[in-house]
Amino acid sequence: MVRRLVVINMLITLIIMSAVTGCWSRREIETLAIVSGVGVDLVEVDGKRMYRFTAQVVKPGQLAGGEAAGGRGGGGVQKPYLVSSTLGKTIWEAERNFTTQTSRKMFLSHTEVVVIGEKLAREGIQPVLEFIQRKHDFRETTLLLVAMGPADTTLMAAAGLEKVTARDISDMVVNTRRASVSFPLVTREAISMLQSSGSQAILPRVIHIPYGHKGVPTGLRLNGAAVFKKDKLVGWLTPEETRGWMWVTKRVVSGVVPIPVPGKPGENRISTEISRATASITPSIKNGRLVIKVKINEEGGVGEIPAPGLDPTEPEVVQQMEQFLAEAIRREVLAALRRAQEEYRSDIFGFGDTVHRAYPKVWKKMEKRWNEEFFPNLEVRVEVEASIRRVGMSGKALSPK
Amino acid sequence: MKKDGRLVFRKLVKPVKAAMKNVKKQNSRKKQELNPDPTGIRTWEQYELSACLEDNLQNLRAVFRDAGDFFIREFTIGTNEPVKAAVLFFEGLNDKKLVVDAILKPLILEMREIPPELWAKAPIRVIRERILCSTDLNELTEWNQVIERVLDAEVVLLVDGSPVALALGAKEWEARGVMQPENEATVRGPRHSFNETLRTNTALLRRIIKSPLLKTESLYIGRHTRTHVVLAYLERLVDEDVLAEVHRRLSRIEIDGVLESGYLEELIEDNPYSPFPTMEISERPDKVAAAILEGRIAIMTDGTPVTLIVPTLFVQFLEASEDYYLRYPTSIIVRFLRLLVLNAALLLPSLYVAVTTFHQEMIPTPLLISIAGAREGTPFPALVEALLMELAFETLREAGLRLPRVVGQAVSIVGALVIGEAAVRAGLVSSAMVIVVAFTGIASFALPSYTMASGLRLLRFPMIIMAGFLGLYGILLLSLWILIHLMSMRSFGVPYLSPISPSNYREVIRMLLMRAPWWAQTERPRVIGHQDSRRQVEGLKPRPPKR
Repeated sequence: MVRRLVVINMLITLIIMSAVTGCWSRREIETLAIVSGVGVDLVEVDGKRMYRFTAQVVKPGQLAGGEAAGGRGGGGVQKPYLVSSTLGKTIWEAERNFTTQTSRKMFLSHTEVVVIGEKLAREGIQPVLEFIQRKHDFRETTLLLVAMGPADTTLMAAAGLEKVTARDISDMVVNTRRASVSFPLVTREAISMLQSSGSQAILPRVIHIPYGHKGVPTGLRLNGAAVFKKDKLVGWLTPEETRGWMWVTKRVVSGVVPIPVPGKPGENRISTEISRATASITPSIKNGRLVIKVKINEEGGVGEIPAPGLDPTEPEVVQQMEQFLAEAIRREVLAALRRAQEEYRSDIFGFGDTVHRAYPKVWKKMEKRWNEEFFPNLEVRVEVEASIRRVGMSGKALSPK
Repeated sequence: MKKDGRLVFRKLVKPVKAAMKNVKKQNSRKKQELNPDPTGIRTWEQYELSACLEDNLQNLRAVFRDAGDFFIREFTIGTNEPVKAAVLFFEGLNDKKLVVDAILKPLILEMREIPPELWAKAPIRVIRERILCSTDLNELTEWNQVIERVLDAEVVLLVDGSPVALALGAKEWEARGVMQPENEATVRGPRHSFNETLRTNTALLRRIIKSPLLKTESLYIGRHTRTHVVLAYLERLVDEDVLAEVHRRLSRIEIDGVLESGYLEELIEDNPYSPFPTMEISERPDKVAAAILEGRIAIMTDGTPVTLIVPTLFVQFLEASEDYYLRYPTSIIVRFLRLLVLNAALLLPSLYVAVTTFHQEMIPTPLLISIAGAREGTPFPALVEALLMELAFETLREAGLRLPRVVGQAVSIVGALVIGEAAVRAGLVSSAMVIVVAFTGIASFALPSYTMASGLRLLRFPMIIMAGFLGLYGILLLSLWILIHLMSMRSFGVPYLSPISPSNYREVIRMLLMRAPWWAQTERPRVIGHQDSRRQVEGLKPRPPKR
């Protein structure tokens, strides 16, 4: 009898407990506002500095398609997302103010891109990265971008092939690797760049072109990069300079490098496709002077030859093409170096880190004045070794007769 | 003679009265103390048969009074000096033609050829050795034997003047033939199944294992039903301790009746409160034979085709007999599939509930969006939705099981249309949940063992509730609890989770992850067949002849 009483009591307790506790931190999936892109701007409202938090929220009912969307009176005309901006004295306050505008709780775990507005970037991106790092629901793999201009218009741009703009941007970031004029950079990497004294932050750039201008197509562009000094934006890199930086930092995956035609100087250019590229940075101290040696190895293939009859399999032609290719790559690297050293005085290449590793004691003395004094005057020797491995599906170049 | 008979008579009437008195006395006792012998048969043990036929018949009529199917056929044995005799039987349980041809005809008509001096000396011996043409013949001297034999469908012959009865086996009754197994169908392998007649079943087994070591021990369980139970095992292979344990557990059963092996299963299992079965059941002779060859014991019950196999390990519930007939690469893939299915049947709905209500960050973005899209506008939280759908599915399954086959189809159509299609259309449940529940249902049917699948189905509900209240943490808690429970279990003293725990990696690979090809199956499962662990010689792998 006693045992039976104990069992009954336990059962009653369990039933009451489950009723009393409720479902702590339970949130049904349809009560969430799934944010896929976030933009952060700095704006002046009535003379006050305010953060503007822009969120692109997907509307799952319209995105998922199928019965859910079709069954409830065609929402085909509506955009499958909502872009909404809020203001606040801090980023988090702005984010929380979102609740005054929408019916659902903002759910940031699936944020794919965070776009930082140009003005905010110039003032410093520390608040943004701190916010992302400290807030529990952001992923460390969220992509970071800097917009030329405000961030909110970027997210308001019409989506291209994908249904949601943020998704479009994040897929574009991955896709541009095939041209190597932009690069994916996740928040984790940006945070570590920001914290290292031997390298400066650099973020990919996104441009929104709302109106056509002299044959330039409208829409979103993903190219170039934003150069930072500490956490402040100091300037931009052009697409070519960006690739120059990417060669050194081993970020080049693929891309097309045009080179002059061997033996036929002129406007025409041979396309070569990058198929593999590696680089090594070795600092050395000779006669008390710090010298950085950058060695780049590239392998490529010929893509198109606008020179009738040229045989790309001939050893001499190949040798010359390889030389031109090396020269073209070298020029890109030097352009990037010049920008960083002379104009921005920001060690985006991370040369400081290599010095730190190779000569820790020397670095101790240089660390404080590295960007202002040592890096701009640093001697960097760039060596490029390019080789052409493939010539494509045909032999001699097509020659009309 | 008469005086003698009277003496015997007095002695004989006593047992009837004593037995009846015994019954009354014991029935009036306290409820807890059960009468171990409600039929009074044991009381008869001390009494022997009388030489007087009349007395014997009187006693028998007293025992079987009001039993309309009990027959006593009295006749006269056709010797020169006529002797009275009687056959006793229950109608419908015997081959009447055989009774007439093998008993009555020779006794009445063919007795004249027997030399009278032989007859006078030992009449029963003459009948036994010269007259009766029957393969199954026993001499009985005690009352309880006579009663038991008659009840067990034998024909008993009583002859006036001798205190010995003869029991003849002429059992024959209406029974189902050997048919295809209904619940354990295979693509490859034998197609016959046990039926309700125990003798047929043991014969099917004996036809597979033609070894003198195959023992079939008989037991009778059930105070009223006296159900015939047979333990079948291979001597020298079976673990003596396990066998002794089976004997011990079966012998302590005192119950009115055993109608199905399920009665025995619940009365002798190790963990009566567990949702997991510790005994394998099968209606396939080949599967039972395979188990016996592993050193296990089959408990066969009269009246049911379902045989219990003990001891059984957890991993053996994931095996089907077909695994060993199909070629081994297929079987290996199927094994992996079953492991997956095992987890799906237990965890899938709860994982869905946990992930969609607590851990949305774990779902890939496109999937999250489509689930959110599907759930948009559904009225219930995921937990309630899951419970409702599971209940609906269980109802459908139960209805399909019990309904006549003709109606069954209507049920499945209504179920599929109403619950699946219409509920989603009406926005009552999300289509994602329908998919999850449907797949879980199919997964639980993909397990070869029905009893194991039922156990898992039972655990699915607490699992969903835990997931709904505590998320993945809850699932983990309950899973750990189940795992601890499984580890503590034993099947007739054999660790239930072996070879996983206590671990034997070779066997984990051989029994759980893989199905070794037959030329590599050199050993029996260690915890069961350790008495004689070698199954076959090494080096049976086929190869080209050596030159």
